[in-house]
Amino acid sequence: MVLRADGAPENTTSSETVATNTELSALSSMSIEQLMNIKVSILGPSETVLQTPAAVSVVTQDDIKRSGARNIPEALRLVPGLDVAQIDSSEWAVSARGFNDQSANKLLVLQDGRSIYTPLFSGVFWDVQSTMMEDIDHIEVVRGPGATVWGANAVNGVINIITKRAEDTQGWLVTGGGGTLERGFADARYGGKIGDNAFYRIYGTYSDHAGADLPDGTEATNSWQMARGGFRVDWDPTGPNSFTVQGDGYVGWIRQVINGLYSLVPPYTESVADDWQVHGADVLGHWTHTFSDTSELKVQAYYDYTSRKAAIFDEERHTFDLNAQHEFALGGRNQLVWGLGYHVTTDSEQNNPSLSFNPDNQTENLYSGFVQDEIALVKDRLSLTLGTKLEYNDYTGVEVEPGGRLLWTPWAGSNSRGLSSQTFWASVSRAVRTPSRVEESFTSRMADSYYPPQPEISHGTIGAKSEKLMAYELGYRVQPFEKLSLDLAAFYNDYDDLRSVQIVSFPPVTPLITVLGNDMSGHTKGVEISATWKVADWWRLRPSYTYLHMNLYAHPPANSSWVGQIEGSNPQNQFSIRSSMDLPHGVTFDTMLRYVDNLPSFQIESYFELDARLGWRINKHWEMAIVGQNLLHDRHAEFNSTEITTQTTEIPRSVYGTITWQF
Amino acid sequence: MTVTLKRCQSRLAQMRRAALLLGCLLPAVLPGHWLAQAQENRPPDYRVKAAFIYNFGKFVEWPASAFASADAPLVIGVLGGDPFHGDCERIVVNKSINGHPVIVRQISHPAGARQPPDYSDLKSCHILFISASATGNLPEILDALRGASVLTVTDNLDRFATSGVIINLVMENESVRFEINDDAARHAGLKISSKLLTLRTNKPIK
Repeated sequence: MVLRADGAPENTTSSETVATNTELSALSSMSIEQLMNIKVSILGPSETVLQTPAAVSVVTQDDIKRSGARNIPEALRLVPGLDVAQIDSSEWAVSARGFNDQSANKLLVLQDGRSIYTPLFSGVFWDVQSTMMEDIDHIEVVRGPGATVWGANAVNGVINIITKRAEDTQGWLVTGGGGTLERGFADARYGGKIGDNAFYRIYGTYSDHAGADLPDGTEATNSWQMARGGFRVDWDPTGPNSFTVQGDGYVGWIRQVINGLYSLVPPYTESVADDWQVHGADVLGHWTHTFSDTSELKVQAYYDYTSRKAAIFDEERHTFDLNAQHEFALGGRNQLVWGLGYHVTTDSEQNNPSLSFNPDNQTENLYSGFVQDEIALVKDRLSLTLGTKLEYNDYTGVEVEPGGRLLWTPWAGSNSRGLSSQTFWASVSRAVRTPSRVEESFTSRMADSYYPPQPEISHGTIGAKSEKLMAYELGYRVQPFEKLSLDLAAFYNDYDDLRSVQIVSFPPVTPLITVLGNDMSGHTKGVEISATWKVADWWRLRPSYTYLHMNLYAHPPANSSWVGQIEGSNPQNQFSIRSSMDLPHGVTFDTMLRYVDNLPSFQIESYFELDARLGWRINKHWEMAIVGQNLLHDRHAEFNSTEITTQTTEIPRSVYGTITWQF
Repeated sequence: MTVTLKRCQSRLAQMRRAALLLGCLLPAVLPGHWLAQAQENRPPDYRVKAAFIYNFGKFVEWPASAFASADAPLVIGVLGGDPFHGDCERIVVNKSINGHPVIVRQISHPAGARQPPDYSDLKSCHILFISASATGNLPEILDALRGASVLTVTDNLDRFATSGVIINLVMENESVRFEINDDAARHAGLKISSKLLTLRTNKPIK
């Protein structure tokens, strides 16, 4: 250790000193209250984001609050490059870089390290992810494959929802409100301290949602209610260990009308009004052990139970997951991470004439390991990250998912935080999506509107293959001026063995029978651009633009009409601009305008929509806000359900008010 | 005819690709002053934080034994890199607190060192700012400070409440705020004025 003499440090030029002297002397004679009132300039992404060689975005709690989002899909609309389409009141289609669908299956979605997509079809039941929005610390989104670390399913992106530590949610927080689509909601949370080193919180939420609109403007049958509660304990005893235990439980009631079911009597098709009952619970434990300042071990285990009961689908599922991860520095140049994991999920399906599974009970195991090395080729300038995941699953056996990423930080100036103001990154990686439960074992029997009285029968296929991706990405981030930051990413994705559909027998002699296959390939390419522009101290603008082009090919015997259906479910162009204003007296005003290109598969024309939120922080304890969503149209369609035919629904203009008390 | 058209189209596509590539690479060769930070009307966060650290000195009472004499300097140590780029020094020019002239000491902290550095000199500081690059060795640093009346300050520290650090700077709504650990202050024999205690953002840690 070297103590240097006091006085000005080296490398301070006199001109810089002059330029800042006035401001500095003003600062040095300010009272602490005056200092607390100064708004400082921090702009653009955090250091971690800047130094990540991937297309990564972070949505903060402040972003979520100021957007008025009452659920996770709405918060994900804030992420440049994601395609979030609301299907009806309780259902969303969310994807990145194409392949969006009600059962979009190429994203990995985690909450505090717990996987929340269902192994049933590798997609997410968004309706039951009703986390208390105020508890979310931030949401990290990686567009593009993250398979090297995260493994199968992290094909087109990874979404990681991170909740706050218990010590950051101390005291009371109560929120309540209601409006047109969000008929009524209440959230309550209390955080306290146990002993010297542990903090806890407990929370409960309830929300009541109206149904969205039918095209004629009447309310569709998809109103729903969700109730949820949970806890979190963070214990940090002095010494090298720290622990987190958390858990949640929920119950919900969702009304839907299912159309197009097969019936043995004329007109050979029927609709059922269905009350879905959903409930579930999870508990997770996390242990971190620090060996030294350059070596850390994390061990995590969780158990997750979900149940979903509907007339044509009834499933119970238990999942257990254990994983360990060790990170350490090796020499001066290598930062190594390696990990091992075991995941087991077991389900029990109640078969019915419309949808059945064979077998109706199944247990699936997944063993995985990964290693990744971040090598500093030129210190602070050029780094290379190499890694691979190795997995063994019950469907396809061994899967290897390697990847390499290069991060280059050229000379350039530095911004206020001493960071280099531009970075380039490039990556090549391989990812796979392993088959999910439905793909091997389902049989559905729906009405065939062309050839009644026969049904249309679809089957999964035994021996389904993994979908494979080779992804090539380039990225560039720059802060050319103190008030402007830019983030660019471009990708070319090459897919093989994509899930396809083939027709095995035709009416009128036999019913229409289709089987799933892996006979589709193709490529997608796109560009994602986002910027943050600080127009004034009190006004920020965040525009973003996403371009996507999909080129898929069906190979015989696959049916080629499927190709157009998939391509036509994704907007080619998306544009959005968010405006955030800090007005006097604790008033904030936020708007987000978004443009979504047409979706030929659903005959949905391109549209603009606008959300707005006016917030007022009255004092330390009270805050209120009024939120308007989808303000530009009485109602508009954003997507349509594809897997199960629910009512064709449009999303109406909606308004709600909310009041929050904190103590 | 169609052949020519196709050729034209592919040529166009080529040009478009070239333009795209050029657009991507162009910023790398922009002159450095384009990228140099523009003069702003808002101070950067670290400059305000430097003013905070100096201000903390006004609200803390050290035991008499902490100063060799009534006019001995009050030493602010900055451990591990200098995130303030020399602004701490500039803020305290010609400043004194209760008759103690304020001086700043930069203390280097070799990053990622295998052997923990020798921290015995840290006790000579009255305020010690521990920058992010040194917080990996926080337990050792606080160990070395045991029994000494040193006001430890960190910036945006994870798990502050259980860290044993006395003051943590945090950002809230683009303003600088701070958290205080009363317990840690008491152990260090420091008396923090009630005014500072009411301005903190966290709940009392007892």
